[in-house]
Amino acid sequence: MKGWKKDLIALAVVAFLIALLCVGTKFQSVDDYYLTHIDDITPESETVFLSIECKTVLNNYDDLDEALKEEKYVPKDGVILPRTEYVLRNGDTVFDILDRAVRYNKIQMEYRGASENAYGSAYIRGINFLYEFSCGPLSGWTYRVNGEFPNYGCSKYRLSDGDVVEWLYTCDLGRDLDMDMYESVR
Amino acid sequence: MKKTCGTVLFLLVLCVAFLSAPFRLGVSAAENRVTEEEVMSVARGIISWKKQDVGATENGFLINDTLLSSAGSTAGDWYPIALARLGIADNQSGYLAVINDNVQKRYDKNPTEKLDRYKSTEWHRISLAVLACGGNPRKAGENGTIDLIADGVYNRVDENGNGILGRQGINGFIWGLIALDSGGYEVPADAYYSRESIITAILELQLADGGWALSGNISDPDITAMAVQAFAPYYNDAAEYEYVNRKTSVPEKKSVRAAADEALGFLSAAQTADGDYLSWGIQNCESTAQVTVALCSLGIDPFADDRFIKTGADGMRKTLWDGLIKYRTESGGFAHSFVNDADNPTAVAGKPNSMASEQTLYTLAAIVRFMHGENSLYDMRDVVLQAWGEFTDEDIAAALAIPENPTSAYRAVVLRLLEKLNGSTNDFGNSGVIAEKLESAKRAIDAVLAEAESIKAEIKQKLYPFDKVSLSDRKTVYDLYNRYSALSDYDKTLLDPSDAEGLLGCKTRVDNALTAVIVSACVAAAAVGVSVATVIGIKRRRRQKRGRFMTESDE
Repeated sequence: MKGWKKDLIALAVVAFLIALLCVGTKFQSVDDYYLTHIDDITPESETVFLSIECKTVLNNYDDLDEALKEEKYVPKDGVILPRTEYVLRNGDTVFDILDRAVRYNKIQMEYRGASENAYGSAYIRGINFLYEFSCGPLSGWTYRVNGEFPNYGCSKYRLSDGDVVEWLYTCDLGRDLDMDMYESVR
Repeated sequence: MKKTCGTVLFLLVLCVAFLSAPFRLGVSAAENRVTEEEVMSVARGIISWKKQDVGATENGFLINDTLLSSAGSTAGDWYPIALARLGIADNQSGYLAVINDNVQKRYDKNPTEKLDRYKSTEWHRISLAVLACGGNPRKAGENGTIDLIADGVYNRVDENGNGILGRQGINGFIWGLIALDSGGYEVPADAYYSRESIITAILELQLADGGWALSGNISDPDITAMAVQAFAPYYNDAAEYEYVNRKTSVPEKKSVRAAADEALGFLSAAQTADGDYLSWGIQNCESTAQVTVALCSLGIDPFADDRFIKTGADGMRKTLWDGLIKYRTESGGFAHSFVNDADNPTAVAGKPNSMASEQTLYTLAAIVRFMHGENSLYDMRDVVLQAWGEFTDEDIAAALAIPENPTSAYRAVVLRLLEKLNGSTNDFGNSGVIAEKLESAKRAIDAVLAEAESIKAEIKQKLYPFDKVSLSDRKTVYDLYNRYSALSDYDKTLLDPSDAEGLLGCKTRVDNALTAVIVSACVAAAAVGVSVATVIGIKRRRRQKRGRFMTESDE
């Protein structure tokens, strides 16, 4: 009588341990969880959208640096990173989101820090090996948020939930970037 | 009553008029001159503001560690140039030591593109800074093997031998010419560019209204003024150039003087009633500064030439000085603009700004030099090469105070002392020991800088995107983490915040994965143990049961 009661308890323990193994054993402290899941998109997270495009180069291909006339630098459709959703952390700037996106997607990016230029903001020199002046004297990277071109540095522009950030390569100081290309996703 | 009122009012108006412009009434234009003391006092105000900006003490050097960290960049180089040309002794020797080392590192890191693939003006600005600080741009770098003038101006070609001085636009030609003439450097006969070809390239881009622009057909006062600055050494040269204007496709034959005079015509017409200028549609400080430098470089009195005196809205005569000084803020620093631009919340009306302040500061140097009849701002043939003087007891003490394994925080002081020791004339007892100490400190710091660079690159290359990092990457992650931990707290800041965050995230991930494996193994072992124990228990009981049954049946 007493024997099979014990067995039942043992069986229950085994069943529990097996269940535990199946469910998974990710024992993490709150801090660890936060650190490793900070960029996971959940229903509660605030997010922004980011894309990187160099479509204007396709129309100015003759001006492009010979060394960059390859599809790995200038994709056929001019899209280096299609619109992607990223978690917006508290205080994130346009620079922070770009920095994270190029790291996650292993896209080359070079910038000058805020202390290295007179604007007091980070300056994006090159993305995917396309640099300022790579496609003529008026070429370089610019960005717009929700269809507007802010007139100041990307590490000074703080983002809000739902913002749409586009990094765009211009070959004519921004005049070749058609504002109508923007479409709202809100 | 009415009459008294009128008299009082009249007196009041008179008073206000006198108070607002006490020196202007009844004083002829010639007497209403800006004095040198006034100019220098404005300069001291800017320096004092910038000292606060970089965290320097009022009595200390403006060129402190913060400013030195910008050596060789647009944020740093103009301040030492301005200080040197104002004749203000600061830590120019420290700047020279650090900028030379930075140039060497950039050349080493990228032997084909050197300072920059496209931007020629990197060479030009750095050349001017080196020269102003008493160095030799033709013998830059660690052992004086880098010729910034050849690489950045007359032999500026790409890997196919094509000239790329103007790749970034007209700025490349203008500043190339300024750099070339800053030290009166000779151009070898076999060079890719000659002075004449650079001058022609600028002339070819002149617009119909007499000025120049970065793009388009409407002249910009900044670019126009800079072109005039570049043309200044040739203003009295009668030589005529024949070329086809690339903007109008019209063949032209013009002397530099004729072109510069046309530019002055444009600049005179573009000056506002306040005495300042508009660029990109906004009245601003920097455009006004550049025009002032241009006039000084031509030897034209910037505040007395009729072409540059306007009548303001208040009926007063307005010169470039009025146009410039209106941007001075209470802090001493200069604001970019007083227009609130909805698109540009950082350019708040009256807020001092580094670029406006540095351009004004060197403009003040240009003004004082004009007053003294000295060489113009960029004609630095009058600069005396840096004399390092004696390696003093203080220098010895500073060298001995450097720790055995210095962090990169000591970079500026080590480089400066090393340069000074190599250039100093005096002999002292333990100079060999000091030299060895400084050399080894430099090696240690270079190693730290290289290590930080390498850690950064490997984090990007090996760890991202780090949701793919698993237990099998444990060794890689731990190697990088240990290398990172070995850095001093100061040197850790050489990494970007996202580098450190990525690394810590990966380490946590790997650690958690390892914990999970260990815990799983323990749980599995416990399950197996309990199962085995239960099975044995059941078997034992069955045996016992059977035994009991058999005994019972025996009875």
